[in-house]
Amino acid sequence: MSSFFEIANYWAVAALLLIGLHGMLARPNLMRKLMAMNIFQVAVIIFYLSLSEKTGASTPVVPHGVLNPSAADFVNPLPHALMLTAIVVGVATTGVALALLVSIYRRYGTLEEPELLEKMREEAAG
Amino acid sequence: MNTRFLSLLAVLFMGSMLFYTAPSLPPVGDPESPASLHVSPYYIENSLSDMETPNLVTTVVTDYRGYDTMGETVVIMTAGLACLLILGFWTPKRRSAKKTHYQSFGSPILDTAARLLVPYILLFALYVLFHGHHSPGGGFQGGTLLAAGVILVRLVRGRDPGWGVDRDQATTLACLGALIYYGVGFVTMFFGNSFLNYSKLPIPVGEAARRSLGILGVEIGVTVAVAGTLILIFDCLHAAPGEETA
Amino acid sequence: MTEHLSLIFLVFLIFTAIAALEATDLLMAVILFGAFSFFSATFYALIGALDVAFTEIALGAVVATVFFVSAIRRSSKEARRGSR
Repeated sequence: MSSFFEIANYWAVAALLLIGLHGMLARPNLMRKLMAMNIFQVAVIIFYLSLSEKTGASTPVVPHGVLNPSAADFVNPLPHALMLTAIVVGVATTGVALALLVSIYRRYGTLEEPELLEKMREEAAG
Repeated sequence: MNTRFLSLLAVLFMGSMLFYTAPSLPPVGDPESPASLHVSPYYIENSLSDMETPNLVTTVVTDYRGYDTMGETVVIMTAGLACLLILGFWTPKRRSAKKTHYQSFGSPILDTAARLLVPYILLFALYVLFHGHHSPGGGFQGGTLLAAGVILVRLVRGRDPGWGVDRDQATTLACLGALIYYGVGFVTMFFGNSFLNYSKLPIPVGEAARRSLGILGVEIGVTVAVAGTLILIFDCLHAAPGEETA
Repeated sequence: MTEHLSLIFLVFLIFTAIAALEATDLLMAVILFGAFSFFSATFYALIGALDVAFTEIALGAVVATVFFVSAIRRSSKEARRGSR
């Protein structure tokens, strides 16, 4: 079992996950739900990058002149590669979500969830 | 309120599970943790001799795990096309050339700063793309910087499409980027070998240099796709200063 | 040394995340969200993940903030204020 300060990154990851989850569930404004989803995503990225850390190691770029890199000198590059694609896809998804929000605002005139549900119920009934 | 109470319940449940299982994680910075043991020592030690590329993240993203990046390029292109489908009918495209007059914000500071900065931004984007083998950088960063240069001019000058790419050309660029990525893979398949195996490209240099050139070709595809998609999404979302917000 | 400096940035991250969700005006929330992206990119750079930090700055602090502000501008002013 690891002590408190050895896994300090993971406590911050847990706190950000909970903040993101509460923001997505409890906030009625749709734009805030989207921002909370992005906070959730940053927490997941910090989790993966904390897994790849090594004390005393350097950035995963082999310096000029080193011919035989050893595995303990460089930070693990595999989670970096995965998180690179995750960030780009996250921004593209945010763009599509914002397009949907603009389209919803054009149609119903509001971005708050209770009013939105009211208007949709009125439209379905009448 | 009902929603807040339920969300606090969900947060408490998830929080208790996280705090209960967190001490079982390995300490941060341990070189013997399971994440650093199985495949990644091979990537670190053999990257330089396999393909002459010192940047380990670039080799993992585009060569050792190149198949995932190909799928991701298609995802980016699809996101741009989805945005075009949702908002494309309500956002007017370029007006005809004689009616367009550029509506700048009227501030000489913004105009001058944009004129000074944009050439260097675009040049830096190309540098980041081509130097991605030897320093942090690569295809994604270069594409984003290219899009940032074009978006800066759009922000300062209004929707004047006389500079940069307009919406149709950005759509073409996004799809062309995915096509370049697939194209590099198909070239090796035409010569009878497996898909995306860069060491069998028909270029008369050594094997490590062939893999390095394959990485460069694939990164050009990624850059073009990312730049086209970001310009396309911005174009759909952005309303001109004089247009109605309805 | 940089391991302890990165822990300070984690605390900044948590405060900025709470502030971005609790701000009253939507535009204020978007600016705080841009600051959140910026702090997270600095944290990645201090850990040693330079590629990821470069990508996060170029995408999160520049492009995502521009997207949010453009989308907010297309909603009218009444939708911006007083939003919970």
